[in-house]
Parts: sequence; C-alpha cells; structure tokens
Amino acid sequence: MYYEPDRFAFVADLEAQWQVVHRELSQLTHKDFIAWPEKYLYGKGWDIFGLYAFGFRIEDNCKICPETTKLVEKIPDLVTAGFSSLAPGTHIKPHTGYPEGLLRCHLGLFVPEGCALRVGSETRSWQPGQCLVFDDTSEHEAWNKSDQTRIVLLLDFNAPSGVLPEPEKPKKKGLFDFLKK
Amino acid sequence: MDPVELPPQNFENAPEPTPEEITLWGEIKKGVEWVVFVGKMLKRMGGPVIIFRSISFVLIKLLRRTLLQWGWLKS
Repeated sequence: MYYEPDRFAFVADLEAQWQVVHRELSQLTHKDFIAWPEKYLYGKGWDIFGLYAFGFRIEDNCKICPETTKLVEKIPDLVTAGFSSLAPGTHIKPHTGYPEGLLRCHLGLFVPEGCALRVGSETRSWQPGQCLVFDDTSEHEAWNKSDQTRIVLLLDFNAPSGVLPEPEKPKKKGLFDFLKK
Repeated sequence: MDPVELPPQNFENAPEPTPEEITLWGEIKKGVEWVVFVGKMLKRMGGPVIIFRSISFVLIKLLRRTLLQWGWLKS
C-alpha cells in the first residue's frame, strides 16, 4: 500500500532539494549503472546506481554524487539508496519485497509520460520532484511505456514504529527466494 | 490505469505472464545473477576492510533470511 509522503519528515527536505539530485544524476552515464540482478522479473532495462546498500556506503559512487549523498545521509534509519533507471518498454513483473520492516520511497527525477507504479490495487505515476512512499511487501509492479528512460531516487528506510502492519507468517518458497528484495 | 488490462505486446521486454515454475537450475541462475551483481558493487565500495565487512554482513543476512523463510526464526 501507499503511504502519504508528508507522514515522513525527511520528504519535504528531499523534495525541496530535488533539482540538486537531478543535476548530479545528469552527470552520470549509462555505464555507471548496473543491471538489477532479478532479471526474471523484467528481462532487461532495469539498472541501478547505488549509494548505500543495506546501510553500507558505496564509496566510489558517493564521491560522484556528493550532494545527493549528503541529502540521503540525513534520512533517519536509511538502509538503501540509489538511482533506479527503467529503460523504455521495460515492465517489472508483479513481485513482493521481503518483510524486514522497511518502507520504500521514490523521488521522481526523469519521469516521462507513460510510466507508473502499481502497489496493491492502486496505481500512481511519479512526478518530477515528488516522492511516492510505499510498503514494498505489498505486491507491486512498474512499467515504462514511453520512449525515454525513467529514473527515480530509490530509498529504503526503517519504518517508524507502529506504521507497518504485523508481518504474516513466512511460507517456504524457492531455494533462492530469500534473496528477493 | 490498470496494468492488468494492458496487452503484453505493449511491453517490448515483457516476459510471459505465466506463473513461474521453480526449478533448481532456475534458482542457480538467480543465485549467479546475485553473485555477479554483488561483485560489481563491491568493486565500488572502496577498500578491503569495507569489502570484508560487507561480505560478512551479506552472509549473515542471507542466513537470517533463510531461517526466516523456513520459519525457523521469528522476525
């Protein structure tokens, strides 16, 4: 499900500074991005540029985007941060994240027409400079039907206590499904 | 806009919408993709100490996820 972004104090600061992030992103080239490993979900066209992964700073990338790094480091309980790029025609199949008490925030940066994100039964489009916050343990999918690349700043952060519902009892799945994020 | 109603030909790279069959080979391929990805990320982490810490962290994380997935550990 989606959460109203104004419930989270850091969102206002992030949205106010979005053009700084946009400017640093504009300096990157396609070769700076790495294909997301869950290719069975999308085929090709979903690439990321990581700044933080599971709380670890990705030093070389942070040096390239120092202002964005400063901004994301202000976010309380940040776990993961980076740019997420979706090439024209890419469709990420419906999937769910792992219940680890996280919420996901997308700050729209390059958002052509024809891009959207369905979370549960609700579909929203990104807007440049505006955040979407959602629980990625809800089934979600994303697509880019435009002829331009969509890029957002993706952030995972620990949900403040009492925000998320109690997780359901986990079920046994495939051998490597525990890797799914 | 309801994505379920979109015809698959709208997405050049859209995989078939059939339920995924879980096979050992398929899971191995997924595992290899993750190893390649983590390898590329580690190259950008900067320094052997942080790389060692990251690998240790990931291994512990994966073990914890496995135990959670199998219901042997409560979240």
